[in-house]
Amino acid sequence: MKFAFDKTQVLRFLSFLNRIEKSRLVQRENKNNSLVFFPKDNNLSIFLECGISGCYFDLHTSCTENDSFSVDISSFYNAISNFPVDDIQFAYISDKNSLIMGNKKTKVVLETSLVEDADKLHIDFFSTASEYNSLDAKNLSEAINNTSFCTAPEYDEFPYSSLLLFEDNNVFNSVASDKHRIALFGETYSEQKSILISKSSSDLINNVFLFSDKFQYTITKSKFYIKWDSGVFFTSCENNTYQSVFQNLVNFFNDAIDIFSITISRDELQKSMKFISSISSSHTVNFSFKSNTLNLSAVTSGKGGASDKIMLDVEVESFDAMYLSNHIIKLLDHVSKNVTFHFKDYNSFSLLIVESENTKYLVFPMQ
Amino acid sequence: MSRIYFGSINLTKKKIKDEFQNKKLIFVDNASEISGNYSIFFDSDKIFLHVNPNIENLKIISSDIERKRGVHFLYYEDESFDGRNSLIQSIKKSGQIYDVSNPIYGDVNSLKRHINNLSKEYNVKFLPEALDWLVQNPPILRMRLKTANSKKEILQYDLDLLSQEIHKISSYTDTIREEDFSNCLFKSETDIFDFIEAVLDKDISKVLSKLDEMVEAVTDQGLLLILLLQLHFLLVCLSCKEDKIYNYETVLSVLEMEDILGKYLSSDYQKVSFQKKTQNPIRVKIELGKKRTQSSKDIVKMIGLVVDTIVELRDNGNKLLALPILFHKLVTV
Repeated sequence: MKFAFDKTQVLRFLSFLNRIEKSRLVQRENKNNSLVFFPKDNNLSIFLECGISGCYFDLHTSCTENDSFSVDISSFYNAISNFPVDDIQFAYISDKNSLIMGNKKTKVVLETSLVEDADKLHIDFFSTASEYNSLDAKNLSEAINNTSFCTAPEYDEFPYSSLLLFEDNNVFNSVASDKHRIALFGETYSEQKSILISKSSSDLINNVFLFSDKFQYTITKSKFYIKWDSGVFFTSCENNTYQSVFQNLVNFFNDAIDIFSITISRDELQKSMKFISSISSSHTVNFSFKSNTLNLSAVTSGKGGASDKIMLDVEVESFDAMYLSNHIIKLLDHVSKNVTFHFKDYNSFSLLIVESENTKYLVFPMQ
Repeated sequence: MSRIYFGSINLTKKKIKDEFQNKKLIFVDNASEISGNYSIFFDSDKIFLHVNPNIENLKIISSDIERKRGVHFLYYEDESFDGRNSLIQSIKKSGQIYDVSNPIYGDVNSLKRHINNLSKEYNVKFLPEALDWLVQNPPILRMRLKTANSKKEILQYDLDLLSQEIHKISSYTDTIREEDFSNCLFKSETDIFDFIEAVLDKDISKVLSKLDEMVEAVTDQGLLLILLLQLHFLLVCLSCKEDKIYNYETVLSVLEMEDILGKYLSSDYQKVSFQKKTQNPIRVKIELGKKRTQSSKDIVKMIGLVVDTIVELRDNGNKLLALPILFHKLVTV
């Protein structure tokens, strides 16, 4: 079977598939070749699934025969990305289980595997869902971007390592918390239908939005499917039996009592925070308000410390609180230029609440 | 303050839930996982139950307790936890060790009571023959037990396994029949007391079928000495019953020889040092509640036969002949 394509057109697809392969949890036994070449009616498509996520791309490339085969995605991606020219010709020789790619000057040979019943694989993974709804990609992307950074690392306690997405009036909303901070995007989560996805899955969804400008989605058999004109992506949802955990997060916002609020320039605060945390190597930063100044300081025992002063437009009461510096820096990356900080009391703990556009953030203090 | 629970995990769970109704119970296998992610805002209503924590985990738990990061309880399957550890020592000093062991094998009434509780918990009814079957073929567990000066193994009913089985069966029926247990592979342990019971019940076929297994487990001399000990136990219990002494505490004091030990001086008028041999009060209660066909005189005869066989075997007697002859004689008493 012969085919040819311009590598600049497919490189981003292959890069995405390579990323999916890297999120594979369980290695296949004696079988590394996960990228399936799936020719049908002389039109070539590729697909890959890693057990959790998978993606199908129609390459819109003609091919001479209809023999399906698979190669190792990592080797294939390396070969294509490092190939000296853009136009590459391919020849698949089934007798020798090899894929030859190149031009008159350069040649690469990759070992292939036969794929038994590629049609069934394609149907099982990518054609399960029949009814799709239109998807506002901008809305879903915002919901993920504004909250996913507040999830705990994958190895941490479930479900805090995941992001809860729920739909209300055809709009996606999201909730995330790693027990040290909370992010709520959009509406308050009560009992709406929801799905729980890992941070890595949400990152993949965000990447899918680069492939087109019109998408459809569906949720079937615990999988979240996104479809566009030349591809289908799916990622598995996680065990969503912890709704009460996410439902109760809003209580921290509601039950806290106002201490005071102050508007601070995001850029100035960000600059100070980065300076202090890089100099002091301390994980925490102390916020100390006195009349019209905010004194930010961090001290590492035995190593010294750093402090910086920010002048405020208004006078505020004296107030001290300590937060994780990394959490404040990441929070500032996601808020508008002039942000209002609300300091609130919750059982004698000083919570920091920030509202920016459609998102509410809460940072718990350090003891 | 921390606590230690040992015994059945299900009974531990129930006990903690009953006592701390507003708290969430979290089972922890690896203390470092929860320690790193502890939050006073999310975890203050939780009780962390560490299952069989090792020394490394105990260090983490100890540090978390010192820093007041949550309520931490420890759970061990048996009493074999390391008493030298500082955390365990401090729990011991404050008297916070809770024994939630399974009932001892033979304590049928306790087993029936637990089955009754399980039937209420899972909302199922037992047909009488199913209950009889369970009492005859219960899942048994061998546990290590620490006593004052030694360690010994005891047999207990495995209530956790029983609970799992009843839970499974309750998923498809609300009336439990004998057939529902037909696929259960409950592990049975060869119990020397079960063997001796067969001797007293004159069930010679069971005795002969279990004899080789028992000799292999405890040796011929071991078997005869344990048999002798058990016959002495029976002799005291039966004599007490014949003398109309039914108070188990009195019988226990006779068995432990409280009336004799330490009463007399030696021939050199010196105090005699002795070690008190403790008896399990539950065993005494069970024995007092049983109806025996033998009288204390029969037991004396049986003791004589066993002693003769011990002597015979020590004078180069053949155990392949002596033991079957002894047990044939014992069942005829």
